[in-house]
Amino acid sequence: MLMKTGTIKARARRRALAWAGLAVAVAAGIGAGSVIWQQAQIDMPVAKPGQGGAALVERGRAVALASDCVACHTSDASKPYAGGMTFDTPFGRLYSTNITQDPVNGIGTFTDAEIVGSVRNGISQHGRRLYPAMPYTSYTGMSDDDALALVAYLRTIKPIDSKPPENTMSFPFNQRWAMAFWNLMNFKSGRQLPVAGKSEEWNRGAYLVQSLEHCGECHTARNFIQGLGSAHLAGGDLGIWKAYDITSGPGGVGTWSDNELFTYLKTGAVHGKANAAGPMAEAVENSLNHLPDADLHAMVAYLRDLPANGNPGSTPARTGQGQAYTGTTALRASHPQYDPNSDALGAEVMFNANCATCHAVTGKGVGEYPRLFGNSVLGATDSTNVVSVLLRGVRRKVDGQEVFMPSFANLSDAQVATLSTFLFKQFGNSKVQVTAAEVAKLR
Amino acid sequence: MPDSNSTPMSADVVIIGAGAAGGAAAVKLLRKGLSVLMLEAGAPLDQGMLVSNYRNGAYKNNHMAPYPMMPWAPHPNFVPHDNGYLIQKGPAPYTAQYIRGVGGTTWHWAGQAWRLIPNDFRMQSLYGQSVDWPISYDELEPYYCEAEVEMGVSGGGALAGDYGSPRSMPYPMDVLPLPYAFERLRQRYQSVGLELLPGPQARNSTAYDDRPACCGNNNCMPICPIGAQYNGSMSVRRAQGLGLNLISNAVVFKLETGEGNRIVAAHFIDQNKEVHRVTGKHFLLTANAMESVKILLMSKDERNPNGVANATDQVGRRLMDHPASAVEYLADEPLYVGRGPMCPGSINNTRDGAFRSERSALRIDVHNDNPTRYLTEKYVAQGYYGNELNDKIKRDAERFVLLKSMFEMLPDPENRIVLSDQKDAWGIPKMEVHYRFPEYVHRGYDVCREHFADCVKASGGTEVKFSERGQYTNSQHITGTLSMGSDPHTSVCNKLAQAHDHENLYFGGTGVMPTAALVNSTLTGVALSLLAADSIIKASV
Repeated sequence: MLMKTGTIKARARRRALAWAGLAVAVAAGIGAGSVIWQQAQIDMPVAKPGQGGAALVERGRAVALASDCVACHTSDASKPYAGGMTFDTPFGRLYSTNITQDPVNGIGTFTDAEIVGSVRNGISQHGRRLYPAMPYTSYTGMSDDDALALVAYLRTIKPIDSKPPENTMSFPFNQRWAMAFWNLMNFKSGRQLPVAGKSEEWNRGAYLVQSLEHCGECHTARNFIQGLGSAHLAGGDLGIWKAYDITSGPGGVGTWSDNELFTYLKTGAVHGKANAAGPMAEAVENSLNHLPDADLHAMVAYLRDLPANGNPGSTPARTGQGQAYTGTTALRASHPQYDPNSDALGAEVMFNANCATCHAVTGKGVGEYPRLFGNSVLGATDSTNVVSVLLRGVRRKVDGQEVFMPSFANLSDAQVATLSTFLFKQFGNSKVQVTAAEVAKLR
Repeated sequence: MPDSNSTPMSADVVIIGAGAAGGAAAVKLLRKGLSVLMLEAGAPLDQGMLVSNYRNGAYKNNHMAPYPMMPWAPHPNFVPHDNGYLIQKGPAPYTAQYIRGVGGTTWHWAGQAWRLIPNDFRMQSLYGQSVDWPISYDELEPYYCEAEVEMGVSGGGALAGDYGSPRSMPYPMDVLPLPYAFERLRQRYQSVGLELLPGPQARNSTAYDDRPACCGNNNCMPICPIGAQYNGSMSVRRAQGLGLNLISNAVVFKLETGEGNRIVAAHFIDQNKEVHRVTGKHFLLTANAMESVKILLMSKDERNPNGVANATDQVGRRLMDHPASAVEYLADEPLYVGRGPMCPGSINNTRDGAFRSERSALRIDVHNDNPTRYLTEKYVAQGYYGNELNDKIKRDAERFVLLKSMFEMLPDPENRIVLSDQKDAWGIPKMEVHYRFPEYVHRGYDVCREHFADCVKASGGTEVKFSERGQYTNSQHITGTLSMGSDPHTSVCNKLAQAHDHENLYFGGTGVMPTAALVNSTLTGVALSLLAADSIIKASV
């Protein structure tokens, strides 16, 4: 179990669920030809006089970073943009494409319009429809200038002759043309325009959050046919990870200071409050950490202004709950036995043997090792991320500094359930109970 | 226990002993597509359980205390008293420590992952002492590289370079930084010509092998609580992911021979005292340099009346270790030893020279164990109490220094392991150890004491306590008992690590080393095991 090597991209896994709405969309799609036609219009921008050269490429590099292209289009770190990342979906397995300039396996033969169409419309070369694992639903807001710059940058990526494996989607989900009907229900094609009356910073932040960084693809809940719902950024479910409410409600980031939000986006960690794991760690590592500080401040300004969109009143603040553990001395005096094969293994015994070395016997954390009590992940009403961190660990490298927590997947489902229930009770939201069956689902 | 219906009791390669040597070899063999069955006398061990045992246990100073001892797989233990498993026949004591369990003794070690230097392989040719290895440093070098990758070794860097052991590949990880105390002592010992360097360690300096970087718990022995330090169970687990069939609680007591004196089967007894037989094409014995000997000596049959691989009565002879002397003192400045891993640096420029024809060379480890417990026990015993005790512990713990030197034993055929008439609880003979120190070591001690005195002086030491000439402690680097050599009358296996007497029996681990040299032996033992695995792979095609 510890040798698990397959990579599951949770973000895309969730997005892939979107196709469950296919059949519904087909029914609703009759007579919707004009909308389909409209959505397929690739508005290829025209370069302005003098636009081009190194400055355009450099801007495109920044757009690619902000859009975090590399995270999904890379499976082997030595072959960036060569694709092959696995996306497990309920309907089969997808692999991300090679977007290097390789003429056979990459996008070397794509026209500029075909690249822009892929990014903003989900329509690739020769009209081939992309699955919404590719977040064109967000990228559609990308400005003409950024789209041109992105194309210019992608043209500079040296070809890597590497062919991602074939998708294994089952019928009818292997019928790419049918995505047009899904789009009918779930896709609104068009550029993101500035909102009048809001500051330039706010608008920049809104553009980054909604379009390039595609935050909503994870942080916004899906509707019944798996399109993005209306509770913008109020939290989404990615299967093995939960994307939290990041609106200004109490269950969101309302208790965070601007500086904390900025620091989190920049580094993935705010001591005592939050530590990015899973897909968020990747987003920080590959994208957010590389944004100019002004862009991060802009994102904060926009997020700050989002109305509380969770369920105000019903959700306690995720931060600041729980308290330090003081039971170590009594535990040691009781001469506890640690039987690794017992599903009845006690929570405190496990905590002392597996957690306390780094997080301290009190749970107050040491140095880069997070404080447990008060931490937002343990203050959540949902246990997904705590269990996933226990099963998968944390790996995040920012500014050359690696943060690493090993996996504790050697613990049994029942043991993980016991341990995480204790962690919530002691350090966070004491109402949360975790069952072995829930752990098994996330393993 | 193995269910003969579900567990195939046969494989291309049967490995006996699930430690670092067996684990690394299993990984290599499985990657080459060979099937591997591994038998381990002890039980599976779990990091969480061991950390719990340590934290909640009373004998904090006994590195063996957290390790459960199964009645069918006893191991030597000397604290609080000798458990009588290893019978001392003298004249010198040989208080071996090793762990029987999945992962083996690397569960507790200091992680020092030194290579020998080229001259170590040519002691007889160069210095007229000891023996030459049948292979050169260059022949072992590729296996050192493999072993370092498998174990995850950090080392080298601007200060240390290659430590005099030429490399064909960089270290898998950057060297760990020297703790403050070591940096200060490095500066001060320079005045007496002794070079303190950050050592190579099987310890992560960055996340590696899905394990975290060392964060300085200073708890390498008895158990690294976070898995930053390599242990053999990590290789065994990797091998299991590659299809290893591991049977624990399987105490091998006999190797069965057949036509052409080939090994045809291994017989083991389980925790229920039931006996099983497993077959294989090749057998690799990596069951510790002492326990492997026991298996061979017990395996007597008509073809092999002295036991398997023992036609010339060489099995179990040339038992070696690194006898160690020590000095402790209080430096004239606060150093705060006890931060970082337990053995992060050594004095390494005393390992080789023409003097090796006359006396043992030496290597001096600066110990980094937190001294608080040791000093507290000492001062309480002296009658200190109250604030005076507290103040004394605080002041002295800041300044405490412990140096330990290891010496090179000579391969003496009379230093040996033999079977005892006494039996353990499962009816398997215990071992007797015969051990004595040569003048060669004592003369090394004399020079070492001068070096120690220099170190003390260079750092303004007071309250100095030297260990005595002739009184050496074990370093738990058990070597020589399965010596590799070209002459069957002075060795057990050939340069392929293949038994002289049996074409399909191979050895791995530290017992294969014909000389102990001056460095911790694990890395060399694993490299030799990988060499043996290579020999098996070549014999399989």
